[in-house]
Amino acid sequence: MDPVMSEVEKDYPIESDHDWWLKLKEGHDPAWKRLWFEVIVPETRLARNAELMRKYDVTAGDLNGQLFEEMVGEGKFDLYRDDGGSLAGWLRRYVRGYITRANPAAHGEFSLEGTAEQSEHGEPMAIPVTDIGVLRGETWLMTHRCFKDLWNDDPRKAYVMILKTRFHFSSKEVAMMLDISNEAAVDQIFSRAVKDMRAAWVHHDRKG
Amino acid sequence: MQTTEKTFRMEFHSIPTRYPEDSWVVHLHFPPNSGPQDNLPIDAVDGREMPIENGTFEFMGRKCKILAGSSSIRYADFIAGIHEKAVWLYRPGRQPVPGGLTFA
Repeated sequence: MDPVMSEVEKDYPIESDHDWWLKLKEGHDPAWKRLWFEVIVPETRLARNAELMRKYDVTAGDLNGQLFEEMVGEGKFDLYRDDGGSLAGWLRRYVRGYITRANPAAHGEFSLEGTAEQSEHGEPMAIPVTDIGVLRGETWLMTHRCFKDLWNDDPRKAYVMILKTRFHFSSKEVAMMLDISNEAAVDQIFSRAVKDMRAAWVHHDRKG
Repeated sequence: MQTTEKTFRMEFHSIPTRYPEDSWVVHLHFPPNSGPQDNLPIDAVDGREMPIENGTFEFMGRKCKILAGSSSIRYADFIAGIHEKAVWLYRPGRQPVPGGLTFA
């Protein structure tokens, strides 16, 4: 057995998911260390997740931080039903969601990709019957098709869009970098770009 | 006109091609605090991730010579060509392949 894992198991043996859940809620350090090995590491080792993490520059530490913030900081641990279902399995669904939503095209003002993992209230939804992997691939292609339309209209709009949504630069920074007169002008270009992307999405969606 | 303190890079991709060696990926790097006269480094690889030894990358209305997978463009030229749509990679003995900016 992995000596590190063995040490972690010794530090925090999981007696039951219920006890583990209570300790995690308290932010108990060894319990969280155990979570790292039971939840974060296995997810990051899955080929598809590893590929997405590489692509979107997400680290295992980011995932752990996000999970802690959401579960402890926002109190989402209370959503766990504690009815005998696997706590690790429940947490891994969240981690998978963080990885898939790391796609820059999936958030920001022009949210082109639907939220596959959660409802608008944040609760886990029923497992969809469609193949999410295929759906995401299609969504990704559609995003690029719309982005190409934006480029063909005016590449500057595409640069503004990418700097704001992919690299999270402020309007002030974008204005400085692209030599645009002021922040308001950047906001206006960005707003038009978002509108154009949405219109392109509807157009391509209808065309099929 | 100046880049921020953050280092980042933009990625340009070719359209899909039949053979991986015909496709290409070009990264345009933005070093921190670059001014108009500074050069922005460019690196170029083919679909097998091999550096493009010899070619010309056309974008921003400029033709940038690629040697051993590397090239550059002056930041002021990048800004001057910000409305230019054409993105092509030319390589000796191969068909020119177009491409564009991506979210990657």
